[in-house]
Amino acid sequence: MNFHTEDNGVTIIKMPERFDSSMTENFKETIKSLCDQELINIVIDMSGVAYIDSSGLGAVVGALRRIREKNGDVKTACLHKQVQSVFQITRCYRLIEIYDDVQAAVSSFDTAREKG
Amino acid sequence: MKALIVIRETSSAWLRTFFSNDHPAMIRICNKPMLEYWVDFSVLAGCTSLRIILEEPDSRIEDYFENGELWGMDISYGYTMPDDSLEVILKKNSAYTASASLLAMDGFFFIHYRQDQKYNALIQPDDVSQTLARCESGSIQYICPQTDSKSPPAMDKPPVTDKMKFPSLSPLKDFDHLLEISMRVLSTEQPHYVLPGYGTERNVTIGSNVEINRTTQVIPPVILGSNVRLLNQTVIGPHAVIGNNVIVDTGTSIEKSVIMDNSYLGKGLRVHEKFVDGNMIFSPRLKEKLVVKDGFVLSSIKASLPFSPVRTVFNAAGGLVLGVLQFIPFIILFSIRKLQNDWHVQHKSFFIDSRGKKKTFPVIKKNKNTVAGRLFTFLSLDKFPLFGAVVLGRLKLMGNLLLESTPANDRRLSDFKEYLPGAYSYSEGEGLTPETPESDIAERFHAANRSFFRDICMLAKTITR
Repeated sequence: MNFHTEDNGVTIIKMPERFDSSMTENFKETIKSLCDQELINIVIDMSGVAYIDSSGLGAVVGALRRIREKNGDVKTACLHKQVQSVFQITRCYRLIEIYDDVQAAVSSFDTAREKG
Repeated sequence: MKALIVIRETSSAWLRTFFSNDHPAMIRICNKPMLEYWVDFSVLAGCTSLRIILEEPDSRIEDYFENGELWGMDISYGYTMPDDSLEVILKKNSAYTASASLLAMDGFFFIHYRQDQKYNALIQPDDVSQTLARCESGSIQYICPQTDSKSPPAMDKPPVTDKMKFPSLSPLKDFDHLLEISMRVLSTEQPHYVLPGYGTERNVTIGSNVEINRTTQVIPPVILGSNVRLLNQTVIGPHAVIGNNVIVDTGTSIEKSVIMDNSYLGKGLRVHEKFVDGNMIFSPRLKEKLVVKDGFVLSSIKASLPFSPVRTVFNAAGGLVLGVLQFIPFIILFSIRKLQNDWHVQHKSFFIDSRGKKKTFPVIKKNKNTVAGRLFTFLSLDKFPLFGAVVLGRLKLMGNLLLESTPANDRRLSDFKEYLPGAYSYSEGEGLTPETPESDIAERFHAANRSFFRDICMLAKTITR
């Protein structure tokens, strides 16, 4: 898992192929460290994720809660069909915004700022 | 050209009050799902790919349309949030919509098209983004590619004739509209669409495996689905739509009505201007819904669930073994807590299946302040009263978190068909606090991926946690 911050302050976290219980601690620590740095606009790039389980989803939702408490937001992008179906089964799409494309997700924060 | 279909929950939720078992977009109009009319129209408009965007996705929609091979187009699926505008939806689906001209159908309405027309002729190469058709519950828009708005959309177009016009839209905002559209399609527009079944005479379409008694009168216009049995002296029509897997018993007449799939109509009924779905009958004119309890009058025909003897025996045996193991510790700690005045039990009603069946179970209050209370919790002795229900097959040993019978949970069950509660829950197995979004996700995830082996592993993980 690696991440970088764009010019507009949005951080893109690129997830590995498997996003399960073995990854959640690492992910939570990353989110905590981003929160500490006030980097609270996050896009999770799922283009590399082929498998996600309930622990992975739980970690994403936990991150979402934590970030929204700080008035930030977490968006996901580039979900594979299998991952998309897990989002559907667990009704995660009600909680978190899903984009086709990472750049569209990143620029959506600008649109939100302009409207806000 | 690509198509984008956006089905708004706010526009279609009214259907859920009556047809709660299916997604509103799959409501049958003359035995064909409403969404399929949209898909057919997209094909006639020259679209080669289609994305269906839903606020409340349903696997049954994907099971029905799959990847679109049957329609000769690529069909994909996406989600939207309730407040998303079309502009936001386009942005969220930018990889799909980029550099393609787009036919965006947004709302909840019926499209009155004709299958013998090629609608792509009506969209000219130099057209700019515009609304092609509109009604009070939605619209169809043509959207030019964003990357190069001057370049014409690449489409192979047949010539435009004077007779051609873009289809009109009918709003679908209540049951009056639904009945009116059903009757209009039935009586005057049947040849305009590809409907399931074959036409024996004008305005009569019949599905496969239909049994019509020789004393039955079929008065056009009528549509009969597949696996329909019409018994003695029944009168079907005029203006009747009979769904699939329907039995109409002796002497019953159906006029200006729609009978949905899997319904049984008892003897001697007169059904006029009604919708019937299983054991529910709805009058659009009176806005009244009636649930018939007598199965001989109206009932639903259900497919039986496959019986799994190994799982049932394992479940009961597991419940019995754990019950026996917990019996002595339970009695000892129960006595101690009782003597300490630390025994508080509440009887609460819980849902024991996804159809809303309830059962009352005792809930023992936990207490971490005493040694006996801590030991009681550590040994999971609060599960002991549930093992009786496990042995009797009313509860699974390992399953979903028992949902208390509340209106909020009742609503939750409506989109949680996989709900099968257990004495031990998936949330406990994952160590999650109940009634949190994380716990809800775990419950749905494990319910959807449930298997005998996975449940055993999860049970072991829960007990040893």
